[in-house]
Amino acid sequence: MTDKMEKLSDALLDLAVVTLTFPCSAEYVSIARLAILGIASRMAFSYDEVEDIRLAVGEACTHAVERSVVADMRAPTNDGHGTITIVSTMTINELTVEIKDDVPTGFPPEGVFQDPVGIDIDRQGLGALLMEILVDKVDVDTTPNGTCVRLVKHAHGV
Amino acid sequence: MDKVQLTSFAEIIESVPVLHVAGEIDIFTAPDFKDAIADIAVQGYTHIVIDMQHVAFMDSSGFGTLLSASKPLRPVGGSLSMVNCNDSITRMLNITRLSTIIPIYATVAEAIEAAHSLSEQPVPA
Repeated sequence: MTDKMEKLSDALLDLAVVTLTFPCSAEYVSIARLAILGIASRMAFSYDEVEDIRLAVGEACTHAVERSVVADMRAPTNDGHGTITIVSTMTINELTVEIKDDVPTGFPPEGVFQDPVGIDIDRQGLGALLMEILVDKVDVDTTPNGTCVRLVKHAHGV
Repeated sequence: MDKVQLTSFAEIIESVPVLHVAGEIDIFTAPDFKDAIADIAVQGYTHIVIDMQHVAFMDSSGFGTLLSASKPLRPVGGSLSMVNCNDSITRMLNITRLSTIIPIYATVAEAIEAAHSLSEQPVPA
């Protein structure tokens, strides 16, 4: 086996993927945070970095739940809250977390978002800001059938 | 699924209401947090201290609740302040600079003293 192939083989062995699917509903967001806490704690992140990842993933889930509430209000025929799937991919020096939801998009702009849980501050903006601050990379991919938020955090060792 | 609890109780210390909160503050529990603060504000108090000693986690739902609650207090010279925040929450409040709007104190006594000194200042026109 060549050196290159050995390196590739080692990289594949280091790769681990954990998937969690749960209802797109507010009471389950804490479960997502708990799961990502366990995953990030297995990697070479500091305590603060683990907390950053936990908060960022929670914010992405919160955003999905908020959009789900809006979607349900806009289209009462929607079939419930939908689901969130979190795919965490661990390598030796990087954690990638994809938070995918199946909440339909294309509803009126979020500016008309009317306080579905009784809080009248632009939390979506605050949540997005926190995600940008807390992880190294944030990508958002929106399709008519849902949204995928991809968070990447590099592990620098502890 | 069992309800994730956020519990709270208020007490009046030297004429200043102190809200003791326990649990995690997120999208699910933030409405309870908001109600607890509103229950105090509706009684006419202009300075409110929130004791976060037993709050393990708070996200943007909690930060948004704090901002909303502090908004009507500031024009009347009032304040919303926090004490005993854990390191993670303190760090987030500092990073987002929310701590410039909602001051953080180490102890309840310090927060009450700050509230009293604010009360002695004239209300902004």
